[in-house]
Amino acid sequence: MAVVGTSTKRIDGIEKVTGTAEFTTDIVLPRMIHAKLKRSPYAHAKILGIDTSKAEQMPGVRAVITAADLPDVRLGVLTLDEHLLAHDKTRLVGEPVAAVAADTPEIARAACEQIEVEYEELAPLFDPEEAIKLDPPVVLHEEYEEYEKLLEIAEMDERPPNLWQAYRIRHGDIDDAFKKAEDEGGYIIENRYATGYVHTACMEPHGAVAQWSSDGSLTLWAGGQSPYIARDGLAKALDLSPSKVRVIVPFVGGAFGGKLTVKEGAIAASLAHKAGRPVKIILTRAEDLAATAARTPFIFDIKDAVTKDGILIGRKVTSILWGGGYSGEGILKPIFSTHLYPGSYRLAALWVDSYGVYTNRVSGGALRGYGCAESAWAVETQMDIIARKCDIDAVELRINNLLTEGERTAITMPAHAFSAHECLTKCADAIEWETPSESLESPWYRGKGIALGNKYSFAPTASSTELKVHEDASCELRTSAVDLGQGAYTILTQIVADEFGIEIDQVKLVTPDTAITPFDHVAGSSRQTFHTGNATRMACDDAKRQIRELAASKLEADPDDLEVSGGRISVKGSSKSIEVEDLFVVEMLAGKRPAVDEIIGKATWEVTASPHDPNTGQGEEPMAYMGHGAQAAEVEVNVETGQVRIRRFVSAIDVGKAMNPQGVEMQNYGGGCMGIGIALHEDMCFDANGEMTNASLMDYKIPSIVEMPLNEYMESIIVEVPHQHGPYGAKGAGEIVVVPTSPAIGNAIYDAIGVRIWDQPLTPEKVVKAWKEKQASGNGSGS
Amino acid sequence: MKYPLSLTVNDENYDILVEPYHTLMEAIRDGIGLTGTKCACEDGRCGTCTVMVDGQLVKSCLMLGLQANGKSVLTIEGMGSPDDLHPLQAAFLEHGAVQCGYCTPGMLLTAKQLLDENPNPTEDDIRSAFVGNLCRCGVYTHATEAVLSVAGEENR
Repeated sequence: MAVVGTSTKRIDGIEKVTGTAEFTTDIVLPRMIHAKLKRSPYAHAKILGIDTSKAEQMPGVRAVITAADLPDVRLGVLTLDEHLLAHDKTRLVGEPVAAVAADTPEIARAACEQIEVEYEELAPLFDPEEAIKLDPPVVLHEEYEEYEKLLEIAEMDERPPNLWQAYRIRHGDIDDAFKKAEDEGGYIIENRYATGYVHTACMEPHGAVAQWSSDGSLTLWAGGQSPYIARDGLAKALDLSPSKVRVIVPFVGGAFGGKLTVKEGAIAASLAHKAGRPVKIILTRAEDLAATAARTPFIFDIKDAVTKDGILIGRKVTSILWGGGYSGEGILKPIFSTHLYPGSYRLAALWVDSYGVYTNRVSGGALRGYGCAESAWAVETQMDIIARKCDIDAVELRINNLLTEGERTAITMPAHAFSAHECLTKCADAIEWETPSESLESPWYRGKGIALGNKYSFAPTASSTELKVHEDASCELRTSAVDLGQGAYTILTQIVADEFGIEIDQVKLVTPDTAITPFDHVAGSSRQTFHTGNATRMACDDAKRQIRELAASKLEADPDDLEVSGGRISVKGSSKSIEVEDLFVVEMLAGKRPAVDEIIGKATWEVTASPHDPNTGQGEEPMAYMGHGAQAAEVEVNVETGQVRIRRFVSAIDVGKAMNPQGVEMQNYGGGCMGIGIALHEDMCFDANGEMTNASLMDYKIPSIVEMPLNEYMESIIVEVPHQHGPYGAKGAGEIVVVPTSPAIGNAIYDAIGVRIWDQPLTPEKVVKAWKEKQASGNGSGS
Repeated sequence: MKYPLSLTVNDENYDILVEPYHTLMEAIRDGIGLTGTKCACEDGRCGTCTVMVDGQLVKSCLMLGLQANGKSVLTIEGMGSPDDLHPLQAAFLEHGAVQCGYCTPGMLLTAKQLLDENPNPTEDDIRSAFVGNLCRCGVYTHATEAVLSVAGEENR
């Protein structure tokens, strides 16, 4: 029976509900010692000297390292601007400057306090609009021009010294669009939006365990999103050949973009080398929140030209990503955020200038939705404002502006498997869009909002898998795809079971280990179902081809006339068949062995892409695929306290083919939950020195159950418009589910109380302030 | 200096040595080696380290190990085994209340305590019980369904 498309229970579930699943935090090795980091208390300072002698003399201390103990290489994702340990300067509070390994975590922490670092404090720079100036008050990276860069940025007459990313879109005649809107009775709508500081706040903090072998090779256990990115990063940081590095990914307690690289792992490895003992490093919650990469804020200035009938004809955007001390995993965000400017809409003219700048705060990283969730906040609030300005229903206005299948977006992405209309209308129906919210007794107000979203999945990219067939006809899939909780292992298992016509429990998954499992790019960009799914099907095909060829002579048939299913190889249209087991022979003392070769199917699925011109944003097919989704919220707002309750929430996403419908529902609800936190209350706060002031889960408020609507008011809708290249037509689901959430909630707040809040999160303080301003002016602000 | 700690965990007796500043969570994980009890926030907010001590729910990062001397502790490993799942463990799997799985042990013990005290909880009762358990994957809706499925028929 087919299992693809059914709600197969997660294959790693038993281990997770019984506490036997081993996470990085649970790993214990013989003679293992513990690492702690000495971090900078300053946002910006020169390091004049580091004295580790007192720390080294403490009983129980086994190794102390500083930048001097490490290869002098700069690391990074595409702009290599960061040392593992601060070299001559620190550029954010919490930047590691030294590390200690000791018998216990307590000794290591005490030893860190004994390390004396002499700093010369420098003026910090926090304001992105100051940072982007040609003549900024402070320059963070004086040696920027010397850095190795793997990505071309837009040409500029003169690069502002703190700028690390510039990207432009030049599509159509933007001046003509604004002129047309003015001349023909249309509208020009211009607003500024901002997003806040958000942290992935995974329940499992960042950590790693490092162990060296006597042959000079390193094994690292780390719950990251890509064993191969980790392997290559470690090799570069420690000046090793990648073949000397083995990365094993245990269970991962959430990642959401925050575990792409393993900086702590490289530090642990260096300490382990010096100490000659295995080293474990687990960040404290405070370190995890304050000093690992975050979703840093964007500022969006957006100006739309709209006809009087509500047709969007031109859009001009300037955005700045408030990067931190280092460009990090945020490097592509100023580019990827632009995907939402056309989004699902037809746009004759689009003109974008998108920048990323250094500031002395936490580095910009990835977080579910990677730039798209941020720009959706601006774009989908604009759409609501436009609808109200034109006096057209917000759903109808969006529909009137949608592309159709086969068109290209203003950034040249083909609109294929274009499901925006279906997502939007199904979402609207579910929240009873046509029926206004009931009135409540003051001070409570109720309102509904809706928003559309996209998430593109990046390219170029590739996934390889291997599929070994055993003598009992069970299959073993070797993959470096990572299950971060999203259910990848279960979906890949379902695919193998279906391709071989065997039961789920006859499939064994060999999880990521670079010594065993082949290359897979990353558990990111909603790519594993699509890419690893394809690679898995292809590896199954390859293994079945081998089986047919091996069986052909035994069955006296042409391999093309054979089919493999349920452990049997049969001649099509005949009763002749043999068992997979018959392809193996009995070996004395060794059980059974393959009669010829091991049956191992191999495949690589690769998607190439034509790179976009950074000066025009135009290309051929820039991404692997384009995902669609819509979400709607009904909110209740208390205008006296500013409290916003989500009463009702609908998430309708297109996954092409729901490989595991319950898994999609889990993404719809889980993504909605994270989206609610980001929209309403998640906010990393900093003091005047650039230090995070709410670095605990007590104070950095991720949603708890009370922020969620009651179960009867949660709705998950699965839309299935097959993608021509997806396995079974499938697309990813992991990120689109947080993209429309914030604007849907913001639009609902407007519907309830007639105020706009432009900067996330939409906290009670901001709601009360906006409401009071509206009362004072006797008018709604914004629209 | 380490001090002796005698306690019962999942019906087995343990005599271990712990530092006076070690929490019960550290005693269970590092002293006894039962790592199903997780640590995520260190300040009692997230509930991933939830265990039962003499039948009462305790966030084991907020209790010193030595305070558990002579007491009986139930951890996730004692709730059920892979071959013999507790009905709540089976329900969490069945209803999709498990994603990354890091918060799962704590949520399961919280749910068990709720049903031990109130076999027929309403959705509101379940929401109140889960207030102290954070889950970044956002399984709350499914966890509520899972608990309701195990609870008395009348509240389904």
